[in-house]
Amino acid sequence: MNALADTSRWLALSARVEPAQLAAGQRGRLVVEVEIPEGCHIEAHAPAEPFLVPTELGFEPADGLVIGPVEYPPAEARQFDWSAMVLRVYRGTLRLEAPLALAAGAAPGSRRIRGRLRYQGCTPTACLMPSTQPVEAVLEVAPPRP
Amino acid sequence: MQRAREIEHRAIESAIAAGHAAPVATYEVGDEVPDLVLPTLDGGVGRLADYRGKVVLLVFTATWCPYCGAEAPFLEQEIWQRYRERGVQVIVIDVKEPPEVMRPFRDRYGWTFPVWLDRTGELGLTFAPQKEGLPPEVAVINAHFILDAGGRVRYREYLNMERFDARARTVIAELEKVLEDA
Repeated sequence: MNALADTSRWLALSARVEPAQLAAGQRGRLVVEVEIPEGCHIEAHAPAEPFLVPTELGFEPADGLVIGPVEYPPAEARQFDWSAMVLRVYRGTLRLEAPLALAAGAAPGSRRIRGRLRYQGCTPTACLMPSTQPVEAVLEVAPPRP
Repeated sequence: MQRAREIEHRAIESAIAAGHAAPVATYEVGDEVPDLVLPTLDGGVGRLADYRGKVVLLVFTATWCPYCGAEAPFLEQEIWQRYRERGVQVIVIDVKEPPEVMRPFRDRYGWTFPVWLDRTGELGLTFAPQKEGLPPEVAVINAHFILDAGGRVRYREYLNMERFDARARTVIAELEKVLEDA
C-alpha cells in the first residue's frame, strides 16, 4: 500500500442528497459513501470491544431540516491470526444513509448540509489514531409551485 | 552516546516548540536509554532510572488500538506475573490519552504493573520507527523495547499486522535471552 498522505484524513468521503432537489415538506435520503483504502479497515459502528472506537456519522443542526437516524451497514466479522478476538470492521466501500425531512416552510435555494465522520482504523502495518473527517452535501430546495 | 541523545532530545523539543515536524531519533539495539520521567496513571512520577538493575520491558500502547487490547491480558498474565520474580519490570506507556481514558482499560485487563502517560506523544518520538507516511506517535503504538539491567536496548519490535502475536511469544523468548545473559 502507498504511504498515506494524511493519516488524520485517510478516507475518501462523498455525500449527496437523493433526490438532489426537494420541495418544502418533502423527504429524501442523505447518502455518504466512504472509500477505505485497500488492505485497511475501520472499526464498525458497534465494535467488538468497549474500548474500540465506533464509526459514527453526525450532522450539524440545520433550520428546517431533520436528519437521521443514520443507518449503518452490517459489519464484517474479521478473525485475525493474531487474536482470539473477532473484530467487527468495515472494509472497501461503505454506504451510510440517513432519512432527511425538509420543513413545509423551507425557503428555496441551495443549502449546505455539514457533517462529520468519526472513525479509527488500521493499515496493514499500523493502527491510526481516531480521526474525524468533515463531509458536506448540497440540497437544492425547489421553489414552490405556482 | 548519552550526550548525543541529550542533543537529539533538545532538537526534538525545539522542533515541536517551533511547530515543525520533529526528527525521529529512534533507539537502536545497543543504545542506552537515558532516564525517562513521566507522570503515572496513579498521579505519581515514573522514573526509568528507578528500575536500573532490572530488565525492563517498555510497551507503548493506546486504548483505541485493537492490537494493544488483544495483547493486554497476556502482558499481565504471561509476562508480568511470570517474570517479575526473575527481575523483569513491565512498564506500559500510554500515548496521547488522558488518564480517565486509560484507567478503565487498565482495570479491565487487571494490570498491576506501572502505567505511564506520554500525554503529548513527545516521548514516543524517540522510540518510533520511521514508517513512511506515518507520524511517529502513531508508528510507535504497540512497540516493545527490552532494556537490560544497564538500560541498554537489547531488543525492539514494532507493530506488523502480518506477524503480530497477541501472546507476545517473541518478546518472551527475547526476555529469556536477556535473563540468561544477565
